[in-house]
Amino acid sequence: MSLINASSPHILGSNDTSHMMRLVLIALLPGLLALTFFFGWGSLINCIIASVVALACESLALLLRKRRILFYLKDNSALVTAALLAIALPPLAPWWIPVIGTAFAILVAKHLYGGLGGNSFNPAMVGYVFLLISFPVQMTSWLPAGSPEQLGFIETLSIIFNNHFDAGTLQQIDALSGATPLDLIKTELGLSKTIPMVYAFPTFEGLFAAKGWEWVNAGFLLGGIYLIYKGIIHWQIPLALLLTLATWSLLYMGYDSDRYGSPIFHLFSGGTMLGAFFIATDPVTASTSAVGRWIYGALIGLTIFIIRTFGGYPDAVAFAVLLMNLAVPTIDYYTQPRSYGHAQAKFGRGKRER
Amino acid sequence: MKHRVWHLRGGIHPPENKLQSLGQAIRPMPIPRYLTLSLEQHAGSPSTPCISVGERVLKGQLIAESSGFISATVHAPTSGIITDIGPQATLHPSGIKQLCITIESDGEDKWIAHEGIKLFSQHSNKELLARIQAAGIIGMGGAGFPTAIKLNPGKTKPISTLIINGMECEPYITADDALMQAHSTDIVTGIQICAHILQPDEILIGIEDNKPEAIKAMNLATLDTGIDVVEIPTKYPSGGEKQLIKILTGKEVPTGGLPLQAGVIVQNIGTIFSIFKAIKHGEPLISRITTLTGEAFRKRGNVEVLIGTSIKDLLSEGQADETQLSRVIAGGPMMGFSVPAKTLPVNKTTNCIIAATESEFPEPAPEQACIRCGSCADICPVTLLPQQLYLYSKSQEFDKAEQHNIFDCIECGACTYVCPSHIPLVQYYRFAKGSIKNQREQEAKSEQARLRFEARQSRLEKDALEKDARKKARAKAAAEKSKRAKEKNITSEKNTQGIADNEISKLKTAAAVSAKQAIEAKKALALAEKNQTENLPELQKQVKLFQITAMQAKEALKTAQSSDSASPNNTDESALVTTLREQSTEAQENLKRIKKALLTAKGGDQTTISNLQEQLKLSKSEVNGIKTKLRAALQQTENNEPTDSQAGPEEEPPTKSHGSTEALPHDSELTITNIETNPITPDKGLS
Repeated sequence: MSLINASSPHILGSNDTSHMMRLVLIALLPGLLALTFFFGWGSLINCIIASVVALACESLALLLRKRRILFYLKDNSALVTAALLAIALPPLAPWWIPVIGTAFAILVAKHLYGGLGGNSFNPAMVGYVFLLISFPVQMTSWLPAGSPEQLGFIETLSIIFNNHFDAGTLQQIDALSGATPLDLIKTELGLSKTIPMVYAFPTFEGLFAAKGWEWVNAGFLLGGIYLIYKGIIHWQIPLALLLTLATWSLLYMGYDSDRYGSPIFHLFSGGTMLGAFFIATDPVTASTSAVGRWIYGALIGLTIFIIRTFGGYPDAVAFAVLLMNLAVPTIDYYTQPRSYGHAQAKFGRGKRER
Repeated sequence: MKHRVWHLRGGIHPPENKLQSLGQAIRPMPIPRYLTLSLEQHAGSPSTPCISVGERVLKGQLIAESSGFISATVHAPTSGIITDIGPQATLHPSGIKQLCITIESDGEDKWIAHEGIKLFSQHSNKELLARIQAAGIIGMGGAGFPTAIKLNPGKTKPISTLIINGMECEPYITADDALMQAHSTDIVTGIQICAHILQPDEILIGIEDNKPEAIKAMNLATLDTGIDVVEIPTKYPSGGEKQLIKILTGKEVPTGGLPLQAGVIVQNIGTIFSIFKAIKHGEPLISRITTLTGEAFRKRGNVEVLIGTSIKDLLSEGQADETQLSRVIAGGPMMGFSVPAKTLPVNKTTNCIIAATESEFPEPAPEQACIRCGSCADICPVTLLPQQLYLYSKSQEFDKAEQHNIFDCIECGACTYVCPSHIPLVQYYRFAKGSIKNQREQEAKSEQARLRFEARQSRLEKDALEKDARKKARAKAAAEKSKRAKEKNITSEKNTQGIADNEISKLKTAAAVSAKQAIEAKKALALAEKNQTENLPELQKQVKLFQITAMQAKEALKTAQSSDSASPNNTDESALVTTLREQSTEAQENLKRIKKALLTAKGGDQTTISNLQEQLKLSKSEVNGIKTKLRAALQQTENNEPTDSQAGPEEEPPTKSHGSTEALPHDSELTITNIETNPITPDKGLS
């Protein structure tokens, strides 16, 4: 028997990309459960649609790229993209919304850039922004939290797939469908109402922030802490992001509490926690050095605050993440750590020594 | 007082698998039939054999001398007969062939006479170092650097710390552990010898806390010696030289530098033991402790193995199950290399042989895409960004890889170990390092070639200038001589005729040479322009100089000839010559004009150019005709003097390629006027 000739090291640890992706999916569960509890079956159904489409598109792309389909499908990365996108969608969005979004995310944002590891932009967020710009009506029709106990699983399915409501439900839905807390604040502030007045709306009848949304965010926070504990994501990005968002909202609230929301409101509304722990930490598109992660996270937090407060869109996680994805090569370039035996870190390219 | 332990960043905790080879005493091995000793197993220049084939050697006899400052000696590990001296495959990842000496043992194991030192403290450093050098001791931890040199750092930097590396952080290996347990007092003596030579401020033995028995033994042996045994938390790769220095002193070895620059010297346990044997018993380094481990061995443990024993003998010593054996590794599982063939011999740095089964070291899973998770960066003990290095190595952006300090990578393999995508990162880095080194060698080579070329060019230029100066001086002298001759001619025409003609021919030669040099200079100038060389103005100056010389020579020729033709005896022929000359000048002027027109017409339509070229051809043949006539006339005038072979510039053979500005001397002026702001007046009075 001839001896195997192999390069060192000859032993490998148990880390595994598919396992990491699986843990991310598991960590999404608390938030997804909260979404389902407060907004009905829609998010779950979206997840299933998106997952099926994601796997199909991934297979197609791998086939076209002449890669081993099963081997790459098993890395679970398509499922993570699908889940992140589906969770960000309005629960009652028609079926073709997740289909188009996921297909765009997988085919264009991921595989056109070279597949897993090659994409510079977070595929789920590219899909989301693509949908948001193309189908603004469908993408902004959220339900008020805690309303749809009357919408059963079958009813939800029929709304999603037939885009049709029977007369009674339709009225109910019309009466119920509305904006997210972030939407509401934007609209009402535009109508020259003050923050305390808006807080009096039923939407904000939560325990410490907007109703339902606080628990959704808490769910993602829990999942995120689990991921940090498991060593799947680094803590710098979420911490920097949340700290920056909290600091700026605190500063502005101190300046004028009638017009600017509180840090708690910002942290527990919209996609803050999902963005901080699951979107911004996507390793492929995030900054990769320790210092870089701080900068990257902080810049996303700042961008979220700016767009939410001064921009045209009520929520900003997707835009903020995509914008900072763009900055990642530059951030990485200037944040090389100091290596052993070097007096100081190399700042950027520096002069060529030769 | 407990010595402070600094924190080492990163690192991993792979399964240790050390117990398999522990628990039994170090066992000796039966003497193998053949021993093959590489003469290049140490760092530095290969040793030179000092025995010949067929010679009988005794155990411990010197068989190869060190061949340079950084080199080491090799000794016969047992008594026997030299059967071969020549290149053989050696224990190296590639099984590279090195010069080897093969000994067939006679089984007697008969020692050569040897003697140790009783009290080493009574001997000078020089003597101790000479003994260490003579014993062929090299760093036995892996690098194989000659120990005598390492122990002789000079006075430039004081040694603050002598570190004894008893970490053995690689999984599986227990050779140093076993040695410390069995020979702790001898090791302490060895350390004291080193300390006596180096006189360090402190002496530290670093041992990982997964070797409690060794720590106990060393603690006992170092009582009241001033040597500090430091227990260090187990973590791979804490035993790396640079890592251990950081852990024990908080200092870092500057990048690309030696531990010496941090005031530290690190010695391996095995090396220390060899030093002890060399000084105390006078025994050279002919054996070492090697761990036999891995699931394919039935009899694991540490053996004292003679240097040069083949892997095959070790496999049979450990009763390896050949049916189960899938790979043999020399060294540990993290940094060791797979042995390409079982016949290869162990050398002074082989601390471990792992006979692994397929299930023990399975084939790695296929490589997946890097998701930049940063696990590798988290554990990198050198604080590199392995994920970026991978990216740059793979895309062959080597300058960026270098910028990301790829050469600080110690190839510990921790990044590969933790990579969730099973990317063989270290292999990528080795590829990049190798490519960069190759590239550098290439660059160095081409740089050398460039320097050589430039040196040659400048030498040629210098020669040309010197030649030119000589010619100029000669031409001047000749001109003066001819002037004097002319004056003489007035008084005695007939007698001087021959002399004057002689002068003319000499001048012609001078003029021709100058013109040729002018062409050469011009060529060099054109080349220089093409290459954008910096010394363009200088070259231009030279060209100008040549031109002036050529002109002067021609002028001299003209004066000489005119004086010649003015002599009354040759009136008829002289008249002919003058007419011909006039014609020639006219024709040449014509030719020049056409050429100029051709130059300006360049880029114009094709018919004009071809028209002009036709005219040019015609004029050239006309000029040539005139020249031939002129030559014939001159020959008559000069009374059959042999000047033909050294024709003047006007007799330069007509251009080989039409329209080439380089072929005719006259054209040099044209080119020069194009280049220079102050054109030289073309010598119209040529010929």
